[in-house]
Amino acid sequence: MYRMKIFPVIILCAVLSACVDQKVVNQICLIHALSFDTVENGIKSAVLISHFKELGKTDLEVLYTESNSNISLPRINTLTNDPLERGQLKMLLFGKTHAEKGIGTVIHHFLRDPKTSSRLQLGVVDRDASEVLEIIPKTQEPFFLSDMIQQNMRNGNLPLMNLHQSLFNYYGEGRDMFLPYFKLDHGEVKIDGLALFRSDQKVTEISMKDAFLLKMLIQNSKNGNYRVPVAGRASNKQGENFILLRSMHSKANYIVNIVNPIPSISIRLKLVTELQDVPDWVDLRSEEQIKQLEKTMGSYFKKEIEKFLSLLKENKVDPVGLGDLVRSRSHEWSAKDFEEIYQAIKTTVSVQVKIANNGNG
Amino acid sequence: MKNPVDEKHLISPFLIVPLMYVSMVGVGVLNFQRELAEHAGYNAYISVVLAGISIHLILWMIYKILRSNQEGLDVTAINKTCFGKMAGDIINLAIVLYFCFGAYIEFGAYIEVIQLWVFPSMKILPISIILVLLIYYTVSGGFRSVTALSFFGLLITLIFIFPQNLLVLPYAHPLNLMPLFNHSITDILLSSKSMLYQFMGFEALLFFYPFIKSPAKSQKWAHLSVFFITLMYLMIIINTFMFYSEGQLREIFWPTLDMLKIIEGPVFQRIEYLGISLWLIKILANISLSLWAACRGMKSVFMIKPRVSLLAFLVGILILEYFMKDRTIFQWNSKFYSDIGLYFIYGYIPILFVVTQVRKKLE
Repeated sequence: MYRMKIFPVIILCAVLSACVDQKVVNQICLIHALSFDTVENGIKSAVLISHFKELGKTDLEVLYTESNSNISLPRINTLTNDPLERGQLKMLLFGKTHAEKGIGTVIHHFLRDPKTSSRLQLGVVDRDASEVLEIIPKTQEPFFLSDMIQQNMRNGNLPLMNLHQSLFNYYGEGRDMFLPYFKLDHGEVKIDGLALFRSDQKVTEISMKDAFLLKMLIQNSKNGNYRVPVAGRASNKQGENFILLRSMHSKANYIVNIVNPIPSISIRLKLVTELQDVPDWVDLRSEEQIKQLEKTMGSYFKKEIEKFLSLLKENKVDPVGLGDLVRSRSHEWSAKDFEEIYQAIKTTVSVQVKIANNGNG
Repeated sequence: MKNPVDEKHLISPFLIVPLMYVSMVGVGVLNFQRELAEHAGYNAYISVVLAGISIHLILWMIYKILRSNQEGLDVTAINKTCFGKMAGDIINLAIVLYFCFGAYIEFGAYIEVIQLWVFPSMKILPISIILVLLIYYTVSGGFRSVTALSFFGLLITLIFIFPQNLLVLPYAHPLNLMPLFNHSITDILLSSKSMLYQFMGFEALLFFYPFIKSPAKSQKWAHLSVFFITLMYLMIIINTFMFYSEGQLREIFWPTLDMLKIIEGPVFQRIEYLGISLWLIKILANISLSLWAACRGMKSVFMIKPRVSLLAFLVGILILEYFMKDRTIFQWNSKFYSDIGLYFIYGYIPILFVVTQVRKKLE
């Protein structure tokens, strides 16, 4: 009896493992990056695809198509010999004009698609996005851009970003989206800061320096770099009065003092740093000088963050999520009302810097 | 009277835990968050707690009902003694159909997940037939094989759910949960109602109670499992609320699966496919349990052999699944099922509880 039953079970298990929708890697075209640009009569999109030849050998290729709809994968399909697969899509790029017009429909499409990973990276380019894609085949790295962003999130000034995070900010009330901003410089791509969005439209961009401030305000800014000018003894050489610091740990504390009618928020930042580079007149063995440095750095950060926050208010963008903060402290809250008072809210900043490691001498 | 069920079909009292688990955690756990947040917003975790408490109460009632008679009678016999032969049998038939319908809903929901996430272009019929064969195998093996499958269903989903919830923690925004109370009681109760749909299925206890060795001992295990299942739902819902902003959650149809998309392993770049496949065992156990209960009901009401009624039910499910491909009809059906479940759990069971207690007093 037992034997009689075991066979059908084995057969059923074999059948369950199914062989529908087979995808063999050298019979498909993998899409690695997509770009969207606005042109006169619609949208020009470019795709970076790879043909997998043999182990360690992939051909990268950029294909173009123009259409008046947003997602034009079917049109690209007419250009390739193998079916397109979007499971390995890691990068979406938007041209400057397209980002200014709005990217909502595109990212909503990728939200709905179960095949795209939430770790997909998005980015804005200071000109046509397809120009950046054209550079990638030369590098022979299909994930060049997304790896670059990831590298900079881990070891640089970029805050944590991916499709999920952007959707969180875009759909969440009381916060706005921000994306990395790429620049083309002598034929090289580089990340030049962050593009700030209001709803789904790009409003302005900030430098890598300000990106560090934003990173500090929303998360642990570990491994970010920053240059603080120190006024001090007149130095005979120009441009040496800077301290280059690397953040080891930071934490932002928000306290909402007043909620109604105009919110007042005090932000307390704690930053533990490592000094990378100091002017030669600074004596790091002297306790007194270190204390003095910590103080100057603290007040410099305070000034810069205040400047940064007023820049955000001026542009009416809220990447920090101050609106969300106020929402969490108030019984009734509406995004619309908050938008009106956003420019008027009071923020006071205090920064406490601690130098933990000053290098070898 | 001694237990009428043969000793060799009985299960230990603690094995009620996997049975409760598979019946109370269905496909709904993959997408219940959105509907839950519809009324009470991000206060909906309170609704989960409320629903959990009410289930404890109903569970206590079920045990009282089943114990009011001599040991070893299931709900069909109790119905007959309480409401008379005619009315009792009508009620029994209704309960059988309810369980059968529940199995169909679970089946359809899982097929929908497979179609949406794993194999979009796959035909329904082949996979349905394979699943139906597996279910037939399990249910015809008797109650013990259903329990065994449930046990593996419990194991496999547990080793999946906890790591998942831990791995998404780096993306959690605890601020989302604040302010703690900004929705009205009515909103929270409305959300509790949608939460109830997730818990539905544990009524199968009404049928398998005689199959438990020394049933009285199983009560503490049953309450314990309800407690932990509520806790698990609570953990998932709080995690989801911290993971998505409220506006974002409104756009996402399968939040639990969507959360998996953020996890990236060295070999598996995407875990949701693995998750859905593992989920199969739990779903099969769930469907098998419902169908087993339905067959058991048919046997004690109409003296129909379980094998025959099982075949009829499975063919019925296949036909329903094949002809009602339209997802709007299916959604309407599951809405209908959850409404019936609401009346069944909060209407029928308390009434039966009162009737049996009064009868006991009179005697």
